[in-house]
Amino acid sequence: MKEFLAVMLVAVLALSLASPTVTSLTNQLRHTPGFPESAELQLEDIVKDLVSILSSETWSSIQSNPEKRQRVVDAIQSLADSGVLESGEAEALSQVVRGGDAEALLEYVKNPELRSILEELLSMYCSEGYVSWDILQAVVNRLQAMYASGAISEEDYLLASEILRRIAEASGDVDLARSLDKELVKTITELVTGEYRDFIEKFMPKTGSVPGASLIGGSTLEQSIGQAGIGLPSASLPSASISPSMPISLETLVPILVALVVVAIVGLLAPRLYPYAAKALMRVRARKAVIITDIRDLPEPIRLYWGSVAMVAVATGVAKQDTETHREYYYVVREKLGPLSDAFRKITTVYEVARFGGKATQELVEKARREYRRLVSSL
Amino acid sequence: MTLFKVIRDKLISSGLLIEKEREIKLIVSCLLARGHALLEGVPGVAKTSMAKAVAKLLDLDFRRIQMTPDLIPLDIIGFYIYDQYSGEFRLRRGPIFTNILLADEINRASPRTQSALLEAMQERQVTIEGSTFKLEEPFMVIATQNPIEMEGTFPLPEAQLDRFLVKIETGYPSKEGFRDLIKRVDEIESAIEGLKPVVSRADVLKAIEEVKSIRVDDSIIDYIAQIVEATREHIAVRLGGSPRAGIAMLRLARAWAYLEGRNYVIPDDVKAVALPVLVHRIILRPEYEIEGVTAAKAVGEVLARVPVPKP
Repeated sequence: MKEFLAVMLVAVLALSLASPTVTSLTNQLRHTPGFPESAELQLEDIVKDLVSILSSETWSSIQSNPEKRQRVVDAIQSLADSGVLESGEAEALSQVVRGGDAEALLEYVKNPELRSILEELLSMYCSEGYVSWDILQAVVNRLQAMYASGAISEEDYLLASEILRRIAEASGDVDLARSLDKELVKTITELVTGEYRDFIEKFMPKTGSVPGASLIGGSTLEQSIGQAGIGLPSASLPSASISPSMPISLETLVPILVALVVVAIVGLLAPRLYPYAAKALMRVRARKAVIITDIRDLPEPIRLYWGSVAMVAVATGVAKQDTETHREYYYVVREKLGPLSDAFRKITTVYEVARFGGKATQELVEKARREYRRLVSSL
Repeated sequence: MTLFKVIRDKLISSGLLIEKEREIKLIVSCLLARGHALLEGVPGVAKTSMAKAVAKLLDLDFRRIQMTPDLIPLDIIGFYIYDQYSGEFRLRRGPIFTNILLADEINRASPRTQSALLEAMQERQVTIEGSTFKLEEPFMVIATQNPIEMEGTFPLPEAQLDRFLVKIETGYPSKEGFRDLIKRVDEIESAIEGLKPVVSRADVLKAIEEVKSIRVDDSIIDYIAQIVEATREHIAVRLGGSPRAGIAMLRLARAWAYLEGRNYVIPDDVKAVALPVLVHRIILRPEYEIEGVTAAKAVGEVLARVPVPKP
């Protein structure tokens, strides 16, 4: 019972802390809707300014220009203060813009699988001094698949893209770095404009008779977005119609009540769910393993094998354990690899002969290369 | 076709020994590694049939001794007997003069008899009345013991258990296997009796020599050493693996790789043989034994903790 009360207390506290969206909105809306100083217009200006910076510059040039970088950070901060961006989104965006080191960015990645992959990649980069293009490409593919399936948040996607961009740049993979640069610009623009549109739709219901509507209409913003080269659906942005003295509407109250109920249920179930969650976490940790050591001086089949292991780990989400033999690892990932398991089996066999049989003949090297190429092109 | 594939086709694939592939493979590996095997299982799980079938297929001489408390060393190694017609002492060789000796229920023999047998196993020779006789190669003792009946037995001391290269635990077949066995019991018995050698004794001796030349990478040796050392550091273990355990693991891993048709050892070979090599050499702390920790579990935990050679 104590636990339940504690959870409820925390929930209420969290909700009261989480309501600056409404508070800041009401503070900003202490004016007559439609006047030049209106909050909507200010927000729109901020968004337009941000989109214009993003559309005219590459991501790396924004990061290297202190003035523009500050403008972007300030804009993100303003959007966060006004409630357009959530604090998590704003924090991740600011970190990406400020350009701290990759390890610091990694701290903000929430998805454990993504984090594990990026950690492995960074450790590979630290030990080797570079990461080969095929491994980087495989990680990028995996990242995009995770994002497309909704497995990771936009913040995680942005952070991971920025980390990958830096590794690609440092590894001399200019093409990949450039494409990630574009992807960052595109994603940030989409994030900001999307959140802005959602915000307007949620808190400023359309009245149909607001004089200032044309000033903040979707067309103006759409033009800005259009300049950035991103095709977003047009949005009609209505003006605000709520006043500070107005009680919280049913639309706002319902999600709060739902959230309260959810928190209460989670609070009750938490002690029972904890062992399962802990086990799942253990499994994730157990799967996390360093996959590459210093292999530069080793015969090619051995290097190709470890390169393949890195790619297979990324593609299947199953990292090779330190206590797992090469054959055991093959059997673990065989099913997940599907038709590609044949290529990985051959690479594993060649590795075995070269590593433990002491035979790295030209024929074996050729075989390993052939299968490695097959694996890289398909993963 | 490798030696083991031939044996497997004759015994396992043909259904003569049901669900005993692992046991057969360990017995043959043990023979090629010049070791002896301790077979543990309840009565009636084909222990004798396995030993006999392997001996027949490899064209080796096979004998069996039923160990009892009144058995004396001379019953095993042999003795000189006075021949009143010739007026001379003539040597009567004991059953130990064979290639594969099945010592059934070894723990029923007195410690004195056990010691005589184990000494012969170690030295691969016997001394009778001051004369030393080398035992013919290949020579292998397969001793069996019943894990349930302890009354009237003399459990082997740890030092003597260490002389066995492997301990093979064998059990009942599955439901389907058991039904199949009952259905075909007469056919199986006559088929085992009628088994013909698939290789000659000379081939077996050649294979034993070839096993010695199997390549073992330094990293594999490190891996074996780490596993044996880790058994000593395990919290539940009072006495871990000895250096002899490490040597046994290396030899058996080589033989295992040979039977797999490889001329080099891989970490999988070491993992495959670690349990049968270590399980009878580990003594647990009583407080953990009471809690249900077994030697097999401790070995499993060690294998799950020691990293395999990398990269």
